[in-house]
Amino acid sequence: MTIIKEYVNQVFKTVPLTEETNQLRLDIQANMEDKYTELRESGVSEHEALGVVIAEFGNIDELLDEMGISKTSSENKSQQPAMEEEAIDYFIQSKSKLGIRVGAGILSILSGIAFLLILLSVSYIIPAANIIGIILLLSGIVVGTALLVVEGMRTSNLKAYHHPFVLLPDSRERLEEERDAYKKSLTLSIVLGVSFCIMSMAPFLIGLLSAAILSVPVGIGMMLILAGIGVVFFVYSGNVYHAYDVLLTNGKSPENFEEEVKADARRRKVDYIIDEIYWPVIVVIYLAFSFLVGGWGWTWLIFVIGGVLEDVIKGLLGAWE
Amino acid sequence: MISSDVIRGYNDTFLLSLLNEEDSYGYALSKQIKEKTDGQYIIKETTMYSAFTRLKKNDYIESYPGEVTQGKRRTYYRITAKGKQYLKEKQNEWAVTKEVVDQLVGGVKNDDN
Repeated sequence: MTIIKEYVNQVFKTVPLTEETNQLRLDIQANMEDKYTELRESGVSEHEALGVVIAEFGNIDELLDEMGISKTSSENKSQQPAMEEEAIDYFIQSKSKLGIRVGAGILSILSGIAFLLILLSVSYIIPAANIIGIILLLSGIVVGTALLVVEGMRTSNLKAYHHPFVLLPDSRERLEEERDAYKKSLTLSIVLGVSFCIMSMAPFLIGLLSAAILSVPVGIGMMLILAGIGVVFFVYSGNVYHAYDVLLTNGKSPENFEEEVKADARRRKVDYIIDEIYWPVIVVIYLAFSFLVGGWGWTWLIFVIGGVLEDVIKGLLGAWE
Repeated sequence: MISSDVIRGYNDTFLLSLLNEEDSYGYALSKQIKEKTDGQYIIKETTMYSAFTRLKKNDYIESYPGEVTQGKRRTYYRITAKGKQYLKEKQNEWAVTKEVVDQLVGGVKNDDN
């Protein structure tokens, strides 16, 4: 079965991805699989069945001519990268793995520091605690850094997803549903993450208030571990959610690919002007005006006005488009 | 197996006449063609989908997504009123064609005697 799928995918490789061609590919693949299954059930060998099915496929050019997809247009269009279901799933899985590993890397480094602090404070009971603490610190940093570096390098594999690509309406719909479904998990993760970060203050404060229960270094150590767990929640769920956003932003419909890419470029230009020119100018005006007039008490209002104006400018530019 | 050159002009009509009986999808249609002809004519996938494209362009058939079976959503085809009319014309045309070709090519009878 996978051979049939690969064969059809190979033949359709140069065919531009649209809703129509995608359904066609799926239909032909389903027909061939049905035919193959029936042949196998009637006692034909695997090899022979595949031979028959592929021989009865025909010639793709005949079909493309009929559909009005000429060779030249298929060459032009094949330059538009397309992401199909498998590629989409791969990206989401990669991002969730990346989230877990980056989170684990940070937790590992924080734990290393925490163990050292905790062990140092008990070194008067256990003689070797200092050495164990330093070993744990170093291994925590090594493991953590390794995780971060490896994941950082791995993200370069995912570059293609950060440029515009063709996304079929069906896939878009599925992604939007999944993203909306994930919002609940995201909220839960953020709540848990924040809870851990707030709770992390507790051991430290207990240490400060009554050193008899918990010494300050142990309190700080426990704080680091708890905060690290909180970070894992943030980084993981943030990465997964971001994955959906990246796919939905860069995934363009096959029909309006060119226009959507151009609109994106214009939007980026507007953002660039706002970030690099508009706000720095406002800061300069604020400083100059405040020094000259000395009205520090109220000149900050320029930022409020600036914020409102930014929305107006973006809105106007959007409408003008 | 018959050479596909001879039969090319009739693929559309084959599919139309099968769809005239009931709505159907790709594999079921190609299987019917194979069974009705005792395996003497097998329609190729790309030939069949070229015909579907042509028939759809002329509004002789319309397609609709069928229900998902075995994890596959198949495209079903349905003949239109225009398609039925066209089929009738082609059936009449074939009656004449058959007679003409029979008279000129003569066929098996002459050779055997």
